[in-house]
Amino acid sequence: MNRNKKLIVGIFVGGCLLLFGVGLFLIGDSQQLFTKSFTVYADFAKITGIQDGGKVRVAGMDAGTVTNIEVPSRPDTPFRVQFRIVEKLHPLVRQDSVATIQTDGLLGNKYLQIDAGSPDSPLARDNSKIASKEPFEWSDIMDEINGVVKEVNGVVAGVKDQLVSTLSQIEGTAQTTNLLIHDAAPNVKSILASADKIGANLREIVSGIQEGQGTMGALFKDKEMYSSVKRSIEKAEETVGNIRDTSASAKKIVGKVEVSDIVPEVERTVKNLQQITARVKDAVDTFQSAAGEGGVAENLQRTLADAHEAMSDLSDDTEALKHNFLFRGFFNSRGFYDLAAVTAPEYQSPAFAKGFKRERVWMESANLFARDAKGAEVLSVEGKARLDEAMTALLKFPRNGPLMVEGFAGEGTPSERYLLGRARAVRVETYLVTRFHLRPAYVGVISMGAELPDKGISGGFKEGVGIVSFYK
Amino acid sequence: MLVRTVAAAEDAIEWFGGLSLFTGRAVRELFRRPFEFTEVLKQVFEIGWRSAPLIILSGLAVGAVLSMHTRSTLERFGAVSMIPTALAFALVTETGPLITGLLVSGRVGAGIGAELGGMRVTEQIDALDSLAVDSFKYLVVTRVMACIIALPLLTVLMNLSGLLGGYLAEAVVSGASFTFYFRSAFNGLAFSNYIPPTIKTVVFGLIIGSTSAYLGYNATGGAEGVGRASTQSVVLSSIFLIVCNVILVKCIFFLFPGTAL
Repeated sequence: MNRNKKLIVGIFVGGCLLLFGVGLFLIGDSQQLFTKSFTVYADFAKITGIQDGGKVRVAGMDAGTVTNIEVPSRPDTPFRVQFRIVEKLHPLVRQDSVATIQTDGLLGNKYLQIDAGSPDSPLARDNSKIASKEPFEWSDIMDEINGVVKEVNGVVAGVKDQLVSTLSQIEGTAQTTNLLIHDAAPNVKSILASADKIGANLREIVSGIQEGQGTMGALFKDKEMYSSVKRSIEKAEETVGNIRDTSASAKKIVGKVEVSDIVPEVERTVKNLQQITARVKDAVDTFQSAAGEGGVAENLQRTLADAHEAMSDLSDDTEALKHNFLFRGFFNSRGFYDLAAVTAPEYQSPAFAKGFKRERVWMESANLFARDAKGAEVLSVEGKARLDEAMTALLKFPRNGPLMVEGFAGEGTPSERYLLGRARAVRVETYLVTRFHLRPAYVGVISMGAELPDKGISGGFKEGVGIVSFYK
Repeated sequence: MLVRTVAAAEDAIEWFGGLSLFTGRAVRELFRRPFEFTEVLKQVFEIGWRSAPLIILSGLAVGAVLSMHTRSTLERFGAVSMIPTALAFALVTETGPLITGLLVSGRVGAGIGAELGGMRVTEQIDALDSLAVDSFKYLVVTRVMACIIALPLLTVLMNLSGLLGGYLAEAVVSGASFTFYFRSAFNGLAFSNYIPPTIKTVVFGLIIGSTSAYLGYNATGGAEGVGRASTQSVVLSSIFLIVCNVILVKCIFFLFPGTAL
């Protein structure tokens, strides 16, 4: 074997050994074996696969390797993982640094991560212990996810139950709303009809006012006042000397008219009518646009309440007009009386409800009333049936005048007869108003008990009730 | 039939026993004087140096192919940065030593079997013996020793050339720097991943050298016997090498638990 071959063999062997050494150096360098280092340790209940030689990173930088893992001798004792960190990273490793076991990527090896400590904390000493945080494992996360999924399932089931309950409530509300709409329709129609009627009356009043300017009698359609003025004018014509007084009187009357609250009242009435029609229109629009939706019942009730309130206001206004002496004659001529203030003589006078036709039904008290436990008269079942029958007959006639209930009593003193007759009339009136939904302002009671039975309108009828319907 | 099978089994066992005794004698003679250094160096030159080009070229090719396969696999997991580490791990721990052993068994095993077989059938070995030269010591032990020495060295060459081939393949695709690539490659390795697999090729060398030397040293039947010895040297040494690798890996895992990741 010549020298060249030996040289080549030497180069081959030496070169390969050198390459092997380079490999060893690179591996050792990657594990920081050739740099000055210090050792610390941390305790873990689970080490999740980290091994001797495993990498250690400080704040993400490769810093050393795990040098030893002490297996605990008891179940309640943690693993003690000892690891080496290069000295140049020592300033980052403080006594409050925390060691955690991490995974290098999704599929990588386990390594030990050391968080940089706080600046105020002293440096971790060699062979000292630092805090640790237990690693999480996918199984733990899956367990938590499983629990969360169960909770979500429970919540969804609860929401489902609530939805079913809510839907059933909505369905019930819709049904209730439909019923309310159905029930309210007659009331609304009645309100509209009343509003129309009131409006017509007011238009007539306003036109009367407008036409009557300058002629007081024609102004108010009061024949008595008209006659008075007419007589005054005639007197003025006849008596030139009194013309100044007459004109003064006329001026006084005109002044009264001017300072009176007729015009404001009329204006207020017209405004109320406008408000009524606007509210009724809103109510109708609400019914048409929101029928079947939630809250209709509430809107309906509110609208009805507003309508009733407005009607009440208007009723008060018209009632005030009735009592105004300037309009009293007008209302009387149209059959509007303050029925509560009518006395028996007034009632029996021919002037009452002049121009109205009358239809009367006589009903014996023995057929109407029974005695309760205290001995007081109360309407009997038979009496109520008779009243229903009588009212059915009276309702055939036009309902454009008042309905009067006359109470008769034939025994006792005049005051006792008066009281008993009134009590009977009131019982019957209360029943009729409730039973037939009559407007109380158009139903009056009058006690005829103090009247002599053989006089007046009774014609000998002593005990019982008479129901009189006035109509045109 | 059964008789022939039993006879064949007895022959196989007898042959395996003879190989074991032959290998044991070779190992024993490794540590006995005289040490044929010159002949050992000559065989190292023949076995090691002349195999280096084959190993380096094969390493480059294997490294490049492994890198491409590794990239296509790791790309699915978004772990492209782990290509150098994965390639180094695969090469150093298993691929490099095994391929080196197979290549050497193919090239050297056949050569040893044919060379010693030719010497046997031409009675050159008998001539050496007649000249009071220990033919076993001179022909067998030196070749076994050369294989034992050359295999680890060739494995180192295979590993580094494989990493170089992987780097070239990776540089073409991603333009990774040489320093970063090799630092990343060795960053995922531990000594237990590097030293035991390299040392185990000593056993590969022993298997290749002793098996091929046994077949050639005991060759019979003229030129035909030489050819049969040459072929059987490659086949049997490769089989023994692969089977023995399983046992060796298990032994490494047992001795270095950190290696078995």
